[in-house]
Amino acid sequence: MNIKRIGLGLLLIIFTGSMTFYYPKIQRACKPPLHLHRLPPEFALSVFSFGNKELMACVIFYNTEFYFGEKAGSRKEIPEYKIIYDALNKATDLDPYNMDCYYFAQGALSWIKPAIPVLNRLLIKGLKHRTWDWYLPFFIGANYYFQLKDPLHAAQYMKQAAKLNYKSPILATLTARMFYQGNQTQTGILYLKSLIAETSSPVFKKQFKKRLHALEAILFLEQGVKRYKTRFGKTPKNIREMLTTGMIDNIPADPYGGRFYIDNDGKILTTSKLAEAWKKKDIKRNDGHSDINAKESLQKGNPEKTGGITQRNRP
Amino acid sequence: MRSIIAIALATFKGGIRDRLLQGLVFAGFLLIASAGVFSSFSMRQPLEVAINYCLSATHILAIIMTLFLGLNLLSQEIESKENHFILTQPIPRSYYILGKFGGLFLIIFAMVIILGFFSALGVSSVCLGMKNYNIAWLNFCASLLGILFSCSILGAVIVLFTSVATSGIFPFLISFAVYTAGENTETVKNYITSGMAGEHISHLSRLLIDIIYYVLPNFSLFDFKVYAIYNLPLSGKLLSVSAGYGIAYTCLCLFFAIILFEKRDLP
Repeated sequence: MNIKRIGLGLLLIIFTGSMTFYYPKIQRACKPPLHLHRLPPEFALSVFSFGNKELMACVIFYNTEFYFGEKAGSRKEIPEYKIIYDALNKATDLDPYNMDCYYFAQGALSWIKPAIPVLNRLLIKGLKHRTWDWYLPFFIGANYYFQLKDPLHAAQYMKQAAKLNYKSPILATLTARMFYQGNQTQTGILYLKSLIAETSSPVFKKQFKKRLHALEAILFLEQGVKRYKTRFGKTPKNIREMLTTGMIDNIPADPYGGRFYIDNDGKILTTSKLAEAWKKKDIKRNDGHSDINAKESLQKGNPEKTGGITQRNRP
Repeated sequence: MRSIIAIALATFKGGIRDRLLQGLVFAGFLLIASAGVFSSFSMRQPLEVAINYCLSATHILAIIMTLFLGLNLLSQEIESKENHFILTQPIPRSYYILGKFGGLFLIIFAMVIILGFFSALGVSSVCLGMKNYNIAWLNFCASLLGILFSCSILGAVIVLFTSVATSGIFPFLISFAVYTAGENTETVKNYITSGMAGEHISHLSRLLIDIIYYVLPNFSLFDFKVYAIYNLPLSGKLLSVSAGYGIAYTCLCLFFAIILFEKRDLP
């Protein structure tokens, strides 16, 4: 009897062990579609939190963070940004002091021009509560400057951020540049460098670094155009012309896989539009409606509709 | 008075005999171990997340323990007629109720102290690798005090319903319902007064909500977690009003519990 029991126990352990070893492979291979589900209204969330609204907000944030990490980081799929915003908005309704939510919202949504008005509304909600935090006016200022093309508002928020973090020389420089509407590419580089220095998220850090490399390449080419204009009194027809005349010593690669070119106004643009997420080859069709919409928009050549970043709203 | 203390101590010992302390210490160790893991996913505020997690876990555990212990200590005793031994003694029934509540309060107090201690250790463990941090320990203690008041009112509500109930399930369900409603009356009232609810809510419903708001205990008054998490200034006035409300409501529940229990026919 005992031997039978031991045998049965061993058999069960071996079976369970082999299943535990085997199922992740199958799970990974099958890859069920990953969605972030829309949350119930804030009122209902508050009721179900049983007096622990801050914890509920934290759990919502973690759920959104993990979803974004897997969707954008591992699966290379386009996250459902509207639902991400909805989740973060509800989490900050529950706990308006939760900095993680504002930080994540800025990191994930600030590259999408149509999302900027709602993103700024979210950040202003945070600013009303976190009156000591320089990050929030810093983010709002950056959104006004780079996306909404409103340097006056941007400078006001940057000034507020610089006041709260008076030790940071970057903030003071950014504020000055925004007040005087200086070189946008250089301002963008400075902004990205400050973001890289402050972020602890590897996913965001990777995104910021890639964008920084792209902007540095653009700045390098812009300087080449400037030198060409000074020497020849006209805009170069293409980038190769700058290379052959010795204005630049190489043509940098676009980290987003595109090709740099000069438009009629002498501006440096790229075929990738600095929008990696919307590249055709990277879009894996899944059941997510956002992905399909993005693909359709891409085919129509409308990166803004897909949330893509154009040259005109960098960084 | 001696009888009340004797019943309270006996109740306290009864609660401890249920291996409550061991369970709490185990929960405390889990708190310390998991606080670091939970907060590590935070992008900008791991310390705030750790405080949030520890205080919320303490709150949830304390409420669950109060509900189950309160029912175990009183309802089961009445149901199994174990209390007849005390009630046949020449002591007033009010002493029995006060003694039972006193014992329950002692258990709640010990529980909050133990969980609070482990929470503080959990939060401190998260700070180990940090250079600049500032924990509002006073607000942290105020938050624990808020949890104690919440549990005390809930305990008094359980005593009130147990004193009239003939079965164990009724006081559990009604106390849980009172707790759920009491935790949310503030939210519901704010929702209605803000105009977000629209016009479809009738005057009768609004009146009913107003009555519930004032009759049921408002547990949100004792929620000081946000002050501890984000190191916000906590008004002494708010703290004293909350303490006054907590004591008054607990006493009122016990008063009605005594009246109802004295009128009750025990077999």
